Amino acid sequence: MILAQEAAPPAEASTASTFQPAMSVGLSTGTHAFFGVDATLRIIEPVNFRISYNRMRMEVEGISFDAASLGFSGQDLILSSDLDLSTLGLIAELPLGEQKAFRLMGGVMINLNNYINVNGEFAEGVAVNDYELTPERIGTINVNYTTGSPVYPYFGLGFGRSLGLNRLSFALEAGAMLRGRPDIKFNSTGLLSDNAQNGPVLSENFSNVRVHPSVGFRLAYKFNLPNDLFGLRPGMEGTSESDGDDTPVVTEDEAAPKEQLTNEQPALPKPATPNASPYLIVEGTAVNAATNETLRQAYIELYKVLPDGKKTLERTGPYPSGQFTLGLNPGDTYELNITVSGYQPFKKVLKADPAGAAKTISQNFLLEAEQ
Amino acid sequence: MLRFSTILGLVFLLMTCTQEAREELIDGYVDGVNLNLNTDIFQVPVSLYFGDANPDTGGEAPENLSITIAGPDKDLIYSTDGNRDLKPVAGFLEIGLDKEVIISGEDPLELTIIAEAPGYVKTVQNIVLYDTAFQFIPVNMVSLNNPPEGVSLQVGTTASDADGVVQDTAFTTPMVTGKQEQASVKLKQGTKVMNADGEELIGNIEVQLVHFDNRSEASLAAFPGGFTATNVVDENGNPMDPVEFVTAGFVALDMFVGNDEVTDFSEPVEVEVGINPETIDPETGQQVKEGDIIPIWSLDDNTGQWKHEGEAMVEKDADGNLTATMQITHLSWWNFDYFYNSCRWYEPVQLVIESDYDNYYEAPYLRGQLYDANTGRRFSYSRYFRAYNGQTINMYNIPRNRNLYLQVSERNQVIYTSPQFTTTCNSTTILDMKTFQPPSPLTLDVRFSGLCEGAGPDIIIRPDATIYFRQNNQRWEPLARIRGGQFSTSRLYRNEVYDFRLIYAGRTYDFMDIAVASQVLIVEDYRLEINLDNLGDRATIIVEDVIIPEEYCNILLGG
Repeated sequence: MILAQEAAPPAEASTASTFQPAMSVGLSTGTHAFFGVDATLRIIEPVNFRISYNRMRMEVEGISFDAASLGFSGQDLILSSDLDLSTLGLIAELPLGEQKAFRLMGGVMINLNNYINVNGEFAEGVAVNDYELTPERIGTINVNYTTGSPVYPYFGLGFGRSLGLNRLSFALEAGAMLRGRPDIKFNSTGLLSDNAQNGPVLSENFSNVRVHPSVGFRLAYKFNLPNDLFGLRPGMEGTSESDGDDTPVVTEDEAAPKEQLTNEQPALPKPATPNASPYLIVEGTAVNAATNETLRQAYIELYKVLPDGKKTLERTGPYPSGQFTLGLNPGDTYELNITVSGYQPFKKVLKADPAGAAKTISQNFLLEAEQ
Repeated sequence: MLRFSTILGLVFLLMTCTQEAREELIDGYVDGVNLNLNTDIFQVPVSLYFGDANPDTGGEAPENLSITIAGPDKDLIYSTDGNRDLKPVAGFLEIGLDKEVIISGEDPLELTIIAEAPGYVKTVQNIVLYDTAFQFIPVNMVSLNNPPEGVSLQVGTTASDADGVVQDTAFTTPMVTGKQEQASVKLKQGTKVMNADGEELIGNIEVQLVHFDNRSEASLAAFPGGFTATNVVDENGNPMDPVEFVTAGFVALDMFVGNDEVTDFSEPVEVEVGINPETIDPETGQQVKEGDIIPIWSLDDNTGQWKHEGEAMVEKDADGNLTATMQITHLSWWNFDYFYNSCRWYEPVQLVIESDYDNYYEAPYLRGQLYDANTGRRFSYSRYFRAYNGQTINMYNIPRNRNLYLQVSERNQVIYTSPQFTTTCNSTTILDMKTFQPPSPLTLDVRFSGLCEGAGPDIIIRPDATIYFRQNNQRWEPLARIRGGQFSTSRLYRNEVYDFRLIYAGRTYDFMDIAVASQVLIVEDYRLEINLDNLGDRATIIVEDVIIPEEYCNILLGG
C-alpha cells in the first residue's frame, strides 16, 4: 500500500489531469548570445511561447596577427574586433515525451544589430629607407560582415524543461539560426585603400556560411500564473507541474467544505494520462456510499498539510463526471474535501506513501446522502 | 553550420586561442583576397632630367653624373624610395616630398641643385615652388667634347709662379660652324690666382672657357638655372626682386691648378664677349647697338645665387663686330643679360582654362610654353598641365606687364596658341581651350601594376609615379603622372612606336620599342596588353606583373 489515507479504500480509477499556467524567466549563454534573458509562457496546451533578448556583443583589442598570410612577412597586424549579433527571439516550444523533458523549438530571430567588424593596423612603423612610415600612414583595414535579412528562422531542440518542476531549472538548448548569405565589405584607409574589391571575394568565400549554430545553457526561475489568466478557467485539465509554493496558505477552518456548489457547467476536461513520476497518482471517483453509483458534479478541494499544521490549497475545481486525478507528493500529507449537492461534505486525510512515486492507484470516495 | 561555427570560432579565437590557430583559420578564407598596397608615400612636385645639351646625342644623361642639393629646404626632400641622399636615376631626379608638407607662397620649397659630370660644364639649377603642381625641368648639360650648336669652348694652359701669371695670355673660343660670336679671356702677367681658401696657386693654370651665344635654341637651353632667377642680389649683396633674363651671351669660365679650382684673382681678369647684333633690348624693343648698356651678372655655381655685377657698354671691335667687356674677380658663370622685373610670388599671374574636359584624369596632359608676344622670345621652362575645365595654372615670377601667349606643342608642331594676354601682376586670364583638339584622336586608359616576387600574386603594387616617353631616341619628356597605377593619355598615336620609362623604387623600368597596336607582350619583367579593338577612339593598355625590386619590397612589406 503506497497511499495512506483515513477514508475508505479506492474503488475506481480515472485518467483526468490538470493544467497550470506558468511562466519562467531564464538567463542563457552560448553561441547564440553571450548573455540572454527570456520569458517563457505556458498559457495554452501543449505549446509554450518564449520571447528572448539575446545579447551578443563584444569588443576585442590588441590581438597580434602575423600578416605573412596576407603577404606582409615579418609584419604583425594588430587586430581589434567588435561584433553585435544581438537578436530578439520569438519562439514556440513543443514539449515532447512523457517527461516533457525534450522540446522542439521554432520561431524567428529579429536582428537588433547584425555585424562583425574586424579591424587591423600594422603594429610598427616601416622604415622606407630613411623615411619612417608610421602605422597611421600605412592605414587600416576593416572587414565588415552582415547579412541582408532583418529576420531569419530558428529551429532547435531543448533538453530539459523550460518551465521546470521546481522553481529553478537548467536546460541545454541546441539549434540553428538560418542567417542567410553573408555580405562582407572590405574597407581600408591610407596606403591600404583601394581594396574594396576584396569584399565580394570574401562574400563568395563565405557564401556557404549561412547557418549560425546555437548551443547554449539556460537557467530559469519558474512561477505559476493564476488559473484564470487570459480567461482560462479553473479546472481545465492538463499536465500539472505545480510546485505548490505559489498557492495561498489557508487555515484548517478556512478549508471547510462548501455548502453550495455552483450550477455552472465547466467545460469537460480533456482526458489525459498524468505524469508517472515523481508523484503518486490517485485516480479518484466520488460515489454514493449506499448505492456505489458515481456522483456527478463533484467539487474537489485538495490541501497539502504542512508540518506546522497549516494547509495550502493544491487543487480545486468542479469535476462534472465525478472523477478526478490527484498527484500527491510521496511523503506529504493532504486533506481531500469533496462536495456534492445533496450529500454530506466529505473530508479525508491522505498520506502519500514515501515510496509511492510513479505509482497509480484508483480509489472510490464514499459520500453519504443528506438526510 | 560548420562553416558558421568557424566564423564564430574565429571571433572566439581572436580572444582566446593561439596565434597559430587563428592564422590557420583565417588562411582558409582569404583565398583570392588581393591586398593592394598603394605606394603613394611622397608627392613629387618636381622632376629634373639631366641630359646632354646637344640634341644630336638624344639628350642622354652624362655618365657618372653627380648631384648636390643645397638650399634652405634640402632637409625636407627624399628620393621617391625614401632616401635622403638623392641620386639621379638614368638622369632623372625626382624630388620626393612628404605629402604632409605643405608648399605655399608663404612657405615655398627652395632648393639648389648642382650637377657635375666628368667632361661636362658644371651647372646649377635653382628651384622655387609655390605649389605642388608637377613641374618637369630639363637641365641641359654641356659636354666639353661635344657641345651643342651655339656653344664653343677653348681649353688652354698658362703658367703661374710666385709672382703670378708668368706672361700675358689670352684664350679665345673658336668660331665653329654656326657660331657668329666668340669670347675671350685675358690673363695679365703678374695676376695671382687663388683657391677658395685664399691660397695662391702656383703651377700650370688650366683654363676652360665656354661661350654660349643667344642664337641657338640649344645654347639658350643650357642657360644655367633657366632664365627665371629668384635668388638675386645687387652689387652690394642686397636681395633683389626676381628677374627674367634676356641674354646677350654668356660664358662659363673655369680654371684649375692641378686639383685645385681657381676661384679668385689678385686683380680683375678681362673677359670679352661678342654680342649678337640681332639681340633685342626688351626695354626698347630695338636691336642692340654700339653704346648700349647691358647688365653684367655672375652666377655662384655652388649656391645658385645671381649677382648683379654692374654694366658693360657695347662696343665695336676692329672688324665692326659688337662686343662687351667685363672685368671679373672670381670664376663662375658670367653673363651679359637684360632683364625684366617680375611679379613677386604673392602676385602670380593666373591662367584659368575653359575646356570641355570636366574629368581631370581624362583631360589631355599638355606641355605649355610662354612666349613674349613682342619679341617671340620664350620664357623659362615649359609648364605641364591638364587641360581640364577650371584648371588654374599659377605663373609665379612672371615678367610684369608683358604681352605673352601660351603655346602648346606636340611632336614639334604647335597644336594650340592662346590669345595674347598682359601679365598684370595678381591677375587672372581665362584661356579658352574649348576648341582645342587632343593631339591624338586616340585616348588610352593605362593600368599599371607591379608585383613583389616574394609576396606572391596577392600583393599588387599600384604606384604613383611619372612615366616618361620618347620617340626615335629623342629627349625624354613626361607622358603623364600615374596615380594609383592609372593614367589616361591622348599623346600616343596608333601604330607608332615609343619608348617608355618609369622611375620607381630607385630604379628605372624601361618599356622600349612598344608599338601602339593591339598586342600581348609577355617578357621576363612584365606583361603588357594593348587592346585597340574597342569601339571609338578609346583603348586600354595594361602593364602588369612588373617585378618590383626585392629590396624595396622588403621595405614596403617588411620582409
